[in-house]
Amino acid sequence: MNFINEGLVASFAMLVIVLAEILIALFIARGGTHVPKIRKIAGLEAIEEAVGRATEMGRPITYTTGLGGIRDQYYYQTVAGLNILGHTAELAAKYGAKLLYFPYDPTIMPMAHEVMEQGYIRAGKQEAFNPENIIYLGGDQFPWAFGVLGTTYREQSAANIHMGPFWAESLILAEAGFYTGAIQVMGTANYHQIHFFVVASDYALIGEELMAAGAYLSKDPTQIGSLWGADFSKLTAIAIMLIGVILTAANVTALNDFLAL
Amino acid sequence: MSLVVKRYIPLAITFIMGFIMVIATYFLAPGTPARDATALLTATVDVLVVTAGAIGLVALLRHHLMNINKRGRFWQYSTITIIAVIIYLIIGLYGVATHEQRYMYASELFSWVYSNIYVHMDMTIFSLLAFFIASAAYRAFRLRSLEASVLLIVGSLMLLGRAPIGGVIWEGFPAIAEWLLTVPNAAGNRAITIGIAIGAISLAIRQLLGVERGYLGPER
Repeated sequence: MNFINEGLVASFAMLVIVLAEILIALFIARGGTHVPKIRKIAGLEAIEEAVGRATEMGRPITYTTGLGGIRDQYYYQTVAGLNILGHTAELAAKYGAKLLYFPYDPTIMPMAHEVMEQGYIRAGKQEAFNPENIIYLGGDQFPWAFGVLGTTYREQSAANIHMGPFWAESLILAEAGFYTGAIQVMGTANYHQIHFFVVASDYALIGEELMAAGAYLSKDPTQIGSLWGADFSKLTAIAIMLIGVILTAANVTALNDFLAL
Repeated sequence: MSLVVKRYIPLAITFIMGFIMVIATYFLAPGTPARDATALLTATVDVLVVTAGAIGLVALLRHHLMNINKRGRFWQYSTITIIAVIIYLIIGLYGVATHEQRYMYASELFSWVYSNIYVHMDMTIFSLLAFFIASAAYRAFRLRSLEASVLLIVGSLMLLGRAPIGGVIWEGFPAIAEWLLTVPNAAGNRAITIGIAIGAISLAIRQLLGVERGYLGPER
């Protein structure tokens, strides 16, 4: 009798290994034995520059978290986008810039409200928070994207920040920022849209950089420890691939057989 | 609102639900009553979604009503939006109210409006994407740096390899395009995918353990 569902044995084994590596690194960092250093992520550092530029020009900042909601498999990207929204809101409050946020899915509106308000509270300017700057334009891909495009153009946004899951609307949003001369900071983990962001924006967060944003911005050793653990997981993945190449070249199918379990 | 309600209960729900989902995926066989029970649990999210839909509708109407009230920029379009939303809502509700299968029914008129008006407008704005791609490609393919030059060469080879005329000019173009797609592109793509997968697990662990909780709002 199998305890683990058929076809998921290797997946479960990998999950346990990755989980163990991340948890060990997380607890080591929390204990203070070793707090890893994290490299600078240019896209996240550039947000302050973008907010500062918008403040100087007296024009707003446009922010979206893509097409994600709370019920889909891309939720983790939306949450990462919301973490960066909180940081952007704090900077906007600190400098006195106007931040316009466009949720795609109404399920994230209450969370976005809380996150933005938290940013204004951290900056000591709760009274400056205006819930009307969270603008819902509808929950369908292209009407929403062109609503954001139109508003970006009409308001002449000086900074265009998009962090989350994006599909075919990514270039529409990027071009809107280009036409208003905005500084553009964008990030997604949808690999089929990363190249659009790399080409069309000033700074792009590629894949896992987006997920690391919350830990990076918090400067919390425990969270940074989990990123350190994820690096060990990547080394494990590379080691398994190398072993797989060697075993396959030697005509040994043991690893392939295990992965098929 | 107390910290228990605003912070600890959501964190407990997040941890318990995440734990249940892992157990269900790996240890409960599909089709068993226990697995079906967990599927039912996830369906409760729909209740939240319906409620949020109402919030979205109110937010949309409020935004456009305020724009009309203030005589903001292009307030006339806000009027059209509100009229369209109300008419479509009435058509939908009327269809539901007058049919036996009330909960999962789109009336003929509702479907007609969707297929013959909405879809065409949606496709019209979607088609504008072609022009955005052209203008972005023009900027991206300018020879400004070594990276941009590589992008230009690779992009040109891909175009020639994928367009029928490329194979007519030289039969090697399709093979080069195929190699670019399946070897260097696939290698880079898989590296990014592995990084994303591990990054997502790391983020999920931080959230399930309550280490990363910025999305929950102010701690007060």
